[in-house]
Amino acid sequence: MSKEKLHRFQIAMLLFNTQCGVAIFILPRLTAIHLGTNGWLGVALAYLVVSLNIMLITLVYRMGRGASIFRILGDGLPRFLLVPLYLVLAMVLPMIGCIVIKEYVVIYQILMFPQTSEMVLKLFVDLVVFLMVTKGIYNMSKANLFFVAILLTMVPASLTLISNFDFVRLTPFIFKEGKDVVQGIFRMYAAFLGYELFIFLFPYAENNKKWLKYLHLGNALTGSVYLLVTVLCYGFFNYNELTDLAFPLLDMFGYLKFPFIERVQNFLYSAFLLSIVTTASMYYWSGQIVVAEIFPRLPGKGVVFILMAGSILVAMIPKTLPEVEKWFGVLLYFESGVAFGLPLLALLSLLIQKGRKSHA
Amino acid sequence: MHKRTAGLFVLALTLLLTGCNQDQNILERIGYIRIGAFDPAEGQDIRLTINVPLTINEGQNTKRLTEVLTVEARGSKEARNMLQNQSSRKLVSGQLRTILFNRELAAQGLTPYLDTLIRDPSISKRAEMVIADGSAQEMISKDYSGHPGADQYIDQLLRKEFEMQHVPHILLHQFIRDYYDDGKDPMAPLLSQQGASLALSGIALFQNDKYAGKIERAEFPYFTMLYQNQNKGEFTINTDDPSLKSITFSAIKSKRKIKVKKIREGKYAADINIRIEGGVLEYIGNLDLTKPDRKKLEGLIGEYVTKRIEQILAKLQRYRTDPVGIGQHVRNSMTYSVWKESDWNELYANMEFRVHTRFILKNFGNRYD
Repeated sequence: MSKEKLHRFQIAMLLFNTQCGVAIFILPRLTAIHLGTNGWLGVALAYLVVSLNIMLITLVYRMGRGASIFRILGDGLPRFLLVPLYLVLAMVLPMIGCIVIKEYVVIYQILMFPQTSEMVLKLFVDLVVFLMVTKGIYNMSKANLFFVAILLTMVPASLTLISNFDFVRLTPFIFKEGKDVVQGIFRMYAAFLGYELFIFLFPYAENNKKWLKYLHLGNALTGSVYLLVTVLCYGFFNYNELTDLAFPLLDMFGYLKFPFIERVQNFLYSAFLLSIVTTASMYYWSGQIVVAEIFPRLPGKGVVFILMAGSILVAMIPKTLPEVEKWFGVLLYFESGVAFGLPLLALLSLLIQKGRKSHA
Repeated sequence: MHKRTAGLFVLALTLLLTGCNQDQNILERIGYIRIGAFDPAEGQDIRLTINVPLTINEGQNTKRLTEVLTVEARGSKEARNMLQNQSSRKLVSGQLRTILFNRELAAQGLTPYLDTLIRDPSISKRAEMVIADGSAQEMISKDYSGHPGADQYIDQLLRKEFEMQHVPHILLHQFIRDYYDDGKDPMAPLLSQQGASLALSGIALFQNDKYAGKIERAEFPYFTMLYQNQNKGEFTINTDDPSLKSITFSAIKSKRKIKVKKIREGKYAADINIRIEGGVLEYIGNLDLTKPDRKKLEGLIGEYVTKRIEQILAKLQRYRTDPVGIGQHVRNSMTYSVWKESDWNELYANMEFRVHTRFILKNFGNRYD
């Protein structure tokens, strides 16, 4: 293992950018459809659930004294149980990374290159992601700092829209006309996914418990960006309109006008590639280290290549946006299971180890 | 290592080149539609007219031409494809600045035509949404001598009016937003031909998506104060009162507050407080603008503005249209179930409005009397 350690601030930014993905563009619509009026409150609820989940992950770190998740699991549970789990993870994690890129690219195609094949567009992003992942987690986190700096410049840009914001349009009604509140909260929660991968990061982080707090910092940053975006959309458009707009955030940015450039939404959407690259890279990277746990002798780059090639082939099946979103939905269900299941399993394993010790 | 870098470079290049293939747009071969004008045609069809400015470079000479094309079809995108047949360029809507709807077409309801305006990602939500008093086709194909071409003329005329805050700043975004809102009705500028020129002759009012009536030019300042907070503007009051024959204000600042109260079951009242500040630019009358008289004058002006705004509100109630968004305030004062059960149109028609205007003379200009 290399001596280099991830700084806690890098971890916070990495967490923020991994969570922040293509979901942000459709989040206001999802809140409006599933939660109804003032659906933005759902973001706050989801944030609380995610915070609890992160506490669970930090508990594993504290109890396991910083050991890697694989060692914690391996020490307590039999290998024949773990290998199938790892295999499933090794298949699903890269798939999520791949579908994230796919969804981004399909929207890109709608907006800018309606005639160009989405696979061609996707290969560009895949290439960047491949280069990123093969550089390893330390370099990824360093590059990510620049990405975040660029992405966060969008926040002041969105504040210029406040002159078109009106509280009257928010209405005093809470969660009326929503289709399915439970589903809505789940979709909000799913928009925060990405934090569950940080359970794999234990051996790479700095060697004290300070960084655990920075996980919450990253999550709070995601939460506030999501909240800002959804509240702005509810007051810039109105609830009824939001249920009808495919990508409300892009429509909102489309209204922005600078003296030197108009229709900035295309530019901003392209800049969002930086967020997608980090999100996808983190999923592929997690997939890679899971594979490395099952087959420790395989070369890292080769594994990434195979994982990417495999997921790309599977990702060729869904062609339309609704199909991609449906796939995404299924994978998110699974991933939310992982987010809670994996730390719980690790805790179980730790308890078993403790039980053995006290017996011995 | 070098081999691998070179390999990746070649791969990247190949990918880049394939990307060029399909979605390329060459400036000289593209016609940017500047104005789209919708008129009713026979049956369910519409007549779509587009105005496409062309720049042609022949050696040293640059010529500016305008292509104006008309076709009849069911939907606007079908029409665009048919227009493609007549055009010398590939037509795109990315630079669409103005969308004109004929008034009769608007009276039938705009819902079917709004779809593509919402759906097409290349259409800017900053495009101007305008209702044409008369034939929209004629309006954009005519040559206005002494004015720039129709494409620029309409755009610049409207922008200037918006900037000077003569009328509320209504673009496609605001129109669609209020169209969706259940407590507000959309509105749009109404353009008409006056001799060899165009003029903003009114504000078209809508009930849901249907044209319902208009605000007259003379009512603009009062309507605008009722609609929004102003930080710019100019207006003149003329009355028969000898102390207020004519007065013109500039540098208007106004603030508006709406409070809704329930009087009894099915009857609501709205208190509309408007506070206006303005500097005098011209005054013809028999009062001194010194202290005691100033108060009197402020009172007179306040009363006058109140009266005009009450007249506008009565007219809006008669047309059953609510562009000001009183409904939003009523909705926000109710519980959800009460709002859903009540018939807003009926409530609105029976609403009582109490307008309170406070006018403040900020300065008397260059003359101190």
